[in-house]
Formats: sequence, C-alpha cells, structure tokens
Amino acid sequence: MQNSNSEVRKLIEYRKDLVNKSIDHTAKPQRVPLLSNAWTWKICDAGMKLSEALYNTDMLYKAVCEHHEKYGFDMYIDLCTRNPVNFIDALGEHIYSVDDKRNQISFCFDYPMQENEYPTLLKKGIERFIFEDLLPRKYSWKSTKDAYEHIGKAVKEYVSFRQYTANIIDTFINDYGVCRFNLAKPILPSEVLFTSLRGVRGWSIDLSRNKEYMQEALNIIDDYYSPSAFEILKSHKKEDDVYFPFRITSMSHNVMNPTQFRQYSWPYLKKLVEKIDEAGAACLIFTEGSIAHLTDFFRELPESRVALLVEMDDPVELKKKLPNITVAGGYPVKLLGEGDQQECIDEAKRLIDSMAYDGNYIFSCNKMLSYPDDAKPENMLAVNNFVKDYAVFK
Amino acid sequence: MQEKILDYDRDYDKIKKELLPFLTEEEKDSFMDAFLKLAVY
Repeated sequence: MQNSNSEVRKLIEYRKDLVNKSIDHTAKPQRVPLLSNAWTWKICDAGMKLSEALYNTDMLYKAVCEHHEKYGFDMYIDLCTRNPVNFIDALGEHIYSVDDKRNQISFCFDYPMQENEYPTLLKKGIERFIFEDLLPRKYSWKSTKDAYEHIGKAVKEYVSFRQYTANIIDTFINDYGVCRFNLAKPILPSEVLFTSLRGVRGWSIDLSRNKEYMQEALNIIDDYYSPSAFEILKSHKKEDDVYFPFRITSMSHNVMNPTQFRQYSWPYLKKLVEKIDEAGAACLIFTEGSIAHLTDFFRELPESRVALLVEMDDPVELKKKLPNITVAGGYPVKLLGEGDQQECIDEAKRLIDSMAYDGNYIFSCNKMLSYPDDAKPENMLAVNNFVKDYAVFK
Repeated sequence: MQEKILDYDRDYDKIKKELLPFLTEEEKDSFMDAFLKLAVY
C-alpha cells in the first residue's frame, strides 16, 4: 500500500494536524487520532514466531508494515525497535530468553548495580561507572580481550539495528504518511535506577536505605542525560515529519509516595516539560501503572503541551482532574481480547463520548499489547474503523 | 590489586578508535553515548 508523494504529504499534514490539535486545545481536530499501543503482539498477529522475528530485521520490518496496512493507525509508539536482541546477545550470552508459546521476552540478569555502590557512582560519575563497573558485570566479561571481542560484535549489531530503525521510520514517513513518533526518549534519572541499574526491589530498598546518596546520584545521572535531550529541542522545528520531540516513560512513580515523588522524580519530569514548553513543542508521557496518588503534580504542568498515555488509571476521571493536559488511551485491552465486535464498538463509543467531546483525546489502549490473546484482530479492526467513522468533528 | 576489565582512561578512546573506524570523530562520540545507554538498559 504505497502512496504517491503528494498523497503522502497530505497524509502527513493531516495526521500531524490531528495530533497537534488534540493537544494544543486551539481547535478540534478533524477526528480523534488513533495511537497503536501494540508491541510484540504485532509479530504474532503477522503469524510469526517471536524467536525468529526478533532476530531477523526483515521479518520485523514485514510485521510492522503489515500492522499498519491492516489497521491503519495514525501513530505508532513502537515500530519493533524496543528489543535489539542481536545487539544484547553479542554483548553477552543468554541475556534474553524468548518464549514462543507465551509470546514473551524475559530478561535473565541481575540488575548490575549493587546496593553499596552509590558512593562509587557519586565518585566516578555515571558514564565511567557504567563503563568500568556495570557492563563487565552485566555481561560477565572475563578479561579485557573478552570485553573488546564482545563490544566489537555488538557494534556491528548496533549498526544493523540502527539501519533497521532508520529504514522502518523512512517507510512509515515516505510510503505511509505516518510521522516518526518522537526524536528522543529522554530518561528520567529515577527511571535509570528503577528500570536498569537497581530494579523494582533494589530501588524500593534504596529509597529508605540509601537516602543520603539519592539526591546527588539522581542529579549526576540527570546532568549526564539531560544536555543531549535539550540539544534536540534547539533544532526540532526543522524536523517536519515528527509528532513529538520527546516521549517520556515513567514507571518508578508506582513505588513512590507523593513525598518521595516530589523529591526524586517530579523536579526532573517538570524540568523536561518546561523545556518543551519553552521550545513551543509538545510531548507524550507514558505513565505505566497508575498516577492516581500523584495527580496534583500533573496539574502543575503547562497547558496544552502534554499528552498523557495512561494505563491503569480511569481516563475519564483523570480528564476531569487534569484539564491542562490531553489524556490518551484507556480503551480496555481485555475487551479486545475477550469481547465480540459489538461489545468492542459499544465501549469505543462510550469512551469517545466521555473523552473526546472537546477534541482533546487520543484513542489508544490501556495496556501494551504483547501477547496473542491481548486482542482479536477482527475486534481491533472493527474498533479502528468505528473510530474513524464516528470520532469525527464537522 | 586486580586489573580492571575495562578502564575508562585506558579503553574508552581506544574502543572508539579501534572498533568504530567507519565513523567521523563526532559520530563516534554520539555512537558511544547511544551504545552505552542501550547496553546498560
């Protein structure tokens, strides 16, 4: 399904307009935009085994293209660029485990940073700490020679992975008229510790046992990651075919109470959004889990700059509490997987009537679609067709 | 004291030079930056 150049430009402008107007609150868009929250589900929906497709970029490319050609979303949060298994496998064996029966990827490693290493992080800084301490430990390199050999192989895989990423983005823009979702994915310092270095358990322990080091550690991590993200904001307006300069993910808030969140996460998140605001841009924040205990913070964010993709929160309640932002998502994946087409359409109508009356809504699911049973293809298609017909503003 | 498997001062620039000969100096820096992030996450 390729379009001519002029058709592609029209589609890009149309879709950008849908997305921009659903967030900037200046006027209603022509219709509610559709955001795909399908991740590894795309691969099984294309009839492929995860264990084959993840290791074969031609298969990934085919699965992602089929997903668009079949369902025709306006936006894709993932183009199968999340799990660079060949790259990780080149760094160290048996990090990923792929289960075709459950369509599941598991990570088989202990989080690399130890509870007593905060002083080392503070002393070395994050880049040197990762390079000298965490990578050799995570990948069990036995010697300097062994490390060089693994890194050499991984560089080749990384080049190939970047090429796949560039190709799939190019196809979506130039063949399908779908913009790149984001230019950068700045990572909050609390997320670095929570998702990568310490894990849920470690981070939860650190919040009480390593309090004396926490603030400085977060500042060190932020000082390392923020500048490159802010650099992108200087030139993002030159990029025509992108929805957002930034996509931000937050998970660590789920294990923080409001006092901890105020100290350890909010200042960094707020700073990112304020920079976005200063640059005259918008961003999407994916809040995995729930922010029900933290909504007052999000009320402080600038008007008309943020789309918040929610997971376990009730989108209708959140919309009432947060008129400054566009709540996205909330469609129950469970229904896509278990309901019939009419039940699915009825729920889509209910959600659109409740959420999109002012034009400030992006339609998407309340969970990342990962497993085969997460959605029946005919349900997804019926819902998308319904939204395109019904969620239209004349 | 046991020798480090990777020593930042000894190895960081060496890896850039030896393993990334196909990139410009500027590209090498951004490559290493992205590479390190991906490797640890």
